Amino acid sequence: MKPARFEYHAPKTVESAVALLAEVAPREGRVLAGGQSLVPAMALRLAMPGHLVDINGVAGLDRVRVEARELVIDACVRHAAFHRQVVGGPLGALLSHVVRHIAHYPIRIRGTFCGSLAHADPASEWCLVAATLGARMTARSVRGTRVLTAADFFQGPMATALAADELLAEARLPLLPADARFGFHEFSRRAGDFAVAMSLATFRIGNGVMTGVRLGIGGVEGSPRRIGAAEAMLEGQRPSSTVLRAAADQVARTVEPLDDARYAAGYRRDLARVLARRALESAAA
Amino acid sequence: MEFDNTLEVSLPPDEAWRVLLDIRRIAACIPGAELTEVVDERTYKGKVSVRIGPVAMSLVGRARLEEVDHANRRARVKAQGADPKGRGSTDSVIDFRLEPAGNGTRVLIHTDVKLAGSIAQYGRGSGMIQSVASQLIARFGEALKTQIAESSSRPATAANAVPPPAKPASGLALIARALWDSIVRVFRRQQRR
Repeated sequence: MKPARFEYHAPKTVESAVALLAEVAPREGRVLAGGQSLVPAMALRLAMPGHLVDINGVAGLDRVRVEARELVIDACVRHAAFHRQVVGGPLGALLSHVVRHIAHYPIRIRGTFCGSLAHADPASEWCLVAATLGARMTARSVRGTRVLTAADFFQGPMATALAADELLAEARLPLLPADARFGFHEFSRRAGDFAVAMSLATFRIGNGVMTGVRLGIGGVEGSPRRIGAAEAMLEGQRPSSTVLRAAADQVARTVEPLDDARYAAGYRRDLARVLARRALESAAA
Repeated sequence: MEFDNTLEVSLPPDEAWRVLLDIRRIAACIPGAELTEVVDERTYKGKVSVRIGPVAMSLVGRARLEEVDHANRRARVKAQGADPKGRGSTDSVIDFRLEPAGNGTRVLIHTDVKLAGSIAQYGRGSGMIQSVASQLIARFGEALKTQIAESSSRPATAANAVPPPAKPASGLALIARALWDSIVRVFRRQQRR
């Protein structure tokens, strides 16, 4: 199928992009970045936006840089950019590990980091990374610029705090300490499929005990999130298998999994337990 | 596709029953819903606007109160809706009943959704509907609570509420949910992975 009729706009600056967006938002205007979710939906005529504001030609939206201990990822940075380590230290390693789980290579060449956040699929790896590491999102519109925390940003399956006229201009990930460790595991039936569940863990080990523990679960609930109750059980403890298992059990008790014909809630809960344990074990190893 | 949701309101069952049968009040509490016509006291026409990710659509349809059991405070609503742009339609049955819960009332909603047309033919199942549905119900519940709080501060309201009518409320919400489901399925299958 061909998409329904729409008007295409190709602004050259962020200012003109947000001005256009303000103008067309009331008439179903959408931002086009990598288009890996939007375009298939348009081809099926499920999405019928009246206007597309293509930000691919906007100058200066394709950088990855470090500013004030944060990795700043612009709106047009592709998934594939993270195959190589974009920053030294554990954060770059974490991103280059996680990126290989996102869809397939041709999709990673086009799809963008920020587009994935703005789309907010519950099974998005980047959304889990953003939620677990405490990313901050910069939204721009003609009304100004605002910065949203991950906890405020993700509001449910494919729902974010972004208004229709706002452009997600950049995502800011805090750098991890040089001695931070991480573990990431996901489960999907076939490589490249949407994950049924996934987990990301990161902490440091000093004097034999874990500190700065962050443990996130994605794909299981409507939005990815940290499981504070499990983190609290790990903080200050030695990473023994008993402790890690207890925390993974806590994850399973805490989550309120999605439930559907393919994957029952109980199955997702079991996966959350197993993947949390594996993520923790990988980080501890 | 069948699923259950519950919500609680702070009114005793008798009053909650009256409120829930007051279609105008209920319609105003459904996210994205608009009541366009009261055909008769049991039949209503309306429109629900839904969005999931890049997919935004309005479903136009009607809901009819098929069975009302005042004694047991149960009702059955049948709802039909279609996308004017031809993406599909839904035909659904919603059963709801009230039971006392502390000082208030628990509303139990059971929905059975059938989908037809192009939106229905992709993939099967999704991971999100349940979550979206409960969010929708939660938002509906909150709006209803606010509404109830406002009207109880103005005692006259209950009296001037339109007679008995129906409850396309969950009917319409239902359509929205069905739509969400189908859209999500397409995403699951076609999209990035």
